[in-house]
Amino acid sequence: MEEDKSLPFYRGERGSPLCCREDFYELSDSAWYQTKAWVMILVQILNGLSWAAILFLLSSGLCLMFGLMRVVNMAHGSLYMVAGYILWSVAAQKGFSVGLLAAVVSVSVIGLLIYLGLIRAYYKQELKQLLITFGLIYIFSDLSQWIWEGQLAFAPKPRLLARSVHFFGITYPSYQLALIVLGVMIGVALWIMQDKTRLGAIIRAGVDDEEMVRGLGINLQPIFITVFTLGAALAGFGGAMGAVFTGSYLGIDIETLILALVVVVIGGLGSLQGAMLGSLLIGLADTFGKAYVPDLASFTIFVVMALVLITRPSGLFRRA
Amino acid sequence: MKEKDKTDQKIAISTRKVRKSFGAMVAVDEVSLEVEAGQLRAVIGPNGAGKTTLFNLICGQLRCSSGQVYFFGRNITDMPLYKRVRLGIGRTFQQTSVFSELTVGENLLLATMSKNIGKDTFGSRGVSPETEVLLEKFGLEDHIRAQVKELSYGDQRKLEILLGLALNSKVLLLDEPSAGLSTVETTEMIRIIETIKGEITIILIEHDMDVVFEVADKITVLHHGRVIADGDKQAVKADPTVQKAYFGTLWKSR
Amino acid sequence: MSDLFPIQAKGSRAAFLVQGTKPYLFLLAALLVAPLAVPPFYASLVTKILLFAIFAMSLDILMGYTGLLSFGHVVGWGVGAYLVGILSTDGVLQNFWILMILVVLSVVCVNAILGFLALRTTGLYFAFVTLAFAEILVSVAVKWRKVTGGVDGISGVPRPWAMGETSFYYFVMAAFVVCFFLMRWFVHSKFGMLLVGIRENEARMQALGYNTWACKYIAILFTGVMAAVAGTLFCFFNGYVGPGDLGFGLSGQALLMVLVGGMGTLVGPFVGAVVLVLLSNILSAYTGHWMFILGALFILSVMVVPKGIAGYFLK
Repeated sequence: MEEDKSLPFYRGERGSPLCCREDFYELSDSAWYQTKAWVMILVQILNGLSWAAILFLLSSGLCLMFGLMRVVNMAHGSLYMVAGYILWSVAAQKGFSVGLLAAVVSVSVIGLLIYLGLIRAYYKQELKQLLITFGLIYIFSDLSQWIWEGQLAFAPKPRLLARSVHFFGITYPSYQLALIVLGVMIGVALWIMQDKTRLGAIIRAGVDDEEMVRGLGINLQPIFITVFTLGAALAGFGGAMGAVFTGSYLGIDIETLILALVVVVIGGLGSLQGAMLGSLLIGLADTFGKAYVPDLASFTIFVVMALVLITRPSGLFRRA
Repeated sequence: MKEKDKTDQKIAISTRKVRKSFGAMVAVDEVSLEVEAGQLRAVIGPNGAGKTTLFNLICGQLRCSSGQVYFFGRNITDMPLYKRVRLGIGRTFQQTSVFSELTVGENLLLATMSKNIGKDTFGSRGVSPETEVLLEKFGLEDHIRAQVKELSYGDQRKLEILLGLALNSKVLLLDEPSAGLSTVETTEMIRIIETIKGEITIILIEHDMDVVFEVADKITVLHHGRVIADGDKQAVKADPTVQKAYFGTLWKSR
Repeated sequence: MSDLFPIQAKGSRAAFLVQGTKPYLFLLAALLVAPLAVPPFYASLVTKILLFAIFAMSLDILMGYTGLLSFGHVVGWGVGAYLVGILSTDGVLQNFWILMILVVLSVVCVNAILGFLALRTTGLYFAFVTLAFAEILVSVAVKWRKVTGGVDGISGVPRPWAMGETSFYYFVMAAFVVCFFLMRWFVHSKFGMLLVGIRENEARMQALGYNTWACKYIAILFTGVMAAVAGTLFCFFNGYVGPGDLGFGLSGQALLMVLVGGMGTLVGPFVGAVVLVLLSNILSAYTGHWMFILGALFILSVMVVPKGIAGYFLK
């Protein structure tokens, strides 16, 4: 399949995770050029929303870990990458659902091990956690290169979501629509968990005043373990789902990490709403940037981040 | 525009309806007070009354949500902390925050350097002679080369105040200077405050009523972020609202 | 005397500059003699060590002395290297001194922007913003093929004055000595004291009347220039510059040198540079998994030797 570089998107170059596959949009060449401008914009908005959903999965994990446990995990992007690779490897033989399960479970286990082995010992020492998990990035990168030999891995779409949907004059893949829906659902679920459940209340109290919570007879360790694993699972889920359209490759660990970090800088580390709004902004900015000014690469992200830093340095939601 | 009004030269610190809110919580609610030059004003009130927040608003560590702060007639509401310090507002901290790894001399060097930051910034470090005079006044001259962490807690608190003086502050905000001090050390602290009183304006937060009634010229009482009483010692002591706020528990007449 | 500010100077400014450097004379002598005494391969290894040492030591000023964990330090190195690469190939501009002036100006501009944005935040967020900034520049370098050569970078960068191996070695050595003294003076001066004070208790420093933002900003600009010097010379050394000179891998290596060598001691990162360059050279011959070892060393040094090698000796 030839790449047509006259189209706004083309695949293959690293550094452009929103490169698309030819079968993604199912628009023939002529159909493409006949498309009205606003329809193209609608497509980009939907792309941006689905990318935002993936970013939200990543950054919500970071937010959870930090907001509830004061833990920083720089290896989050690496988890994304590993999940994508696992899905790709497993789905080839056992199908998408099994692959997805394998990816999420493996990454959760990895997250658990990271927490137990490396992070738990440095509770509330953010700098050390940052450095340690930073070192993990290299380790995961090297291991992935060794296991999967640096291939560009696009996971196949699940059969259920392989078709496209027609509306408003466009043909849009149902997979990405499903992503958007999933993103919203998970966002709502997390919000409910954090604000409305007993578990969420305990966690929030535990961060504010650990001694009090212990004094109330509540053991925080299993809760922390749960939260960290949940955060890793979210990253794994995001990585697996994302592997279908960004693919997984060496370097995507840094790329997604940067995007997640920018989301977190914009939204505030402890704030779930911040992660939502930040993912939305960055997802849309990144998509539109790559679609309309691909030569400037990640500059749109930079502009968004700079604007937020200049106007509201403590993040869009002042908290934590 | 600087107001050259004669009366303003006599008013060291004036706040006009300053208000500070953190989200829904209002820490300081429309507090207006005027502290005359050379006066010692004590700010008291139960815990959570907003005293430290008010301090932070005056010295600039926090920005007012609304209202203005004036320093000798000059509007400093938008000035950042370090600029106000250079103008002449010094503060001490409730938890001792002198540099414990440094010597006493070096701490004072830091304090005296900030006014002359342009000159010789990249020069070598030495111990300045002006600090020796100050140390003698406080009885710390023997400790000039001692590391601060070797000093007793009381001496460390003294050093806190000393740093404020070394800055040549015209207004000194003392945040619970007697916190954690023994009775003997508290008496010593009172003596020190008496020595510096009058030369400079002092605003004092204190819980120890003995200290307050010993040194204060005027007392302002805060409760829930509002001023509920403001006047001389006898008036405040007799004020029923004040007694109610304290439930009479901390109130021991001398 | 005290732990934090170990230098109390006496005498003139010149005396202040060289005070305490006697033990380094030995090192200087060794460096001077090196290309004559050892095979050229080792001389080039020493060149590499010296350049990384400048990079790591300046990072230490930011991290160890001022307390700013910055992943954006590599921006100085990369911008310097790329500028040199872009301008001196194709014969556009080969005058070394004009190049260096341009490099310094550009790096100061870039770091001015980076510093301004990053200093709007503190702590972790500061680290994140600097990391994002650096990686965004990487993506620009990769995308802008026409100018930067994309993923492949720019090769064939000529040495200034077409220097041979030995002359270039002495050139780098001279640059190293100059930079070393500059950095040493920076941290041992009163300004250096302010930086440490900011690291220890920034609110206290502000309450003493210091514009801490300005101090941090100056530190970022100064260390950025040092990094640029190192990066430019490295580009001349290799004759090549690529996105790796802006990225993440380089950041991590420098960070590791600081950690292993000892944070907050200027000499520590030099030791770290020696250890790491030698290690990478030796180990790369045996295994292709240098990245893994790098990561493992990272984790180990944070967990096991938080003060670093020199840290244990000096503190």
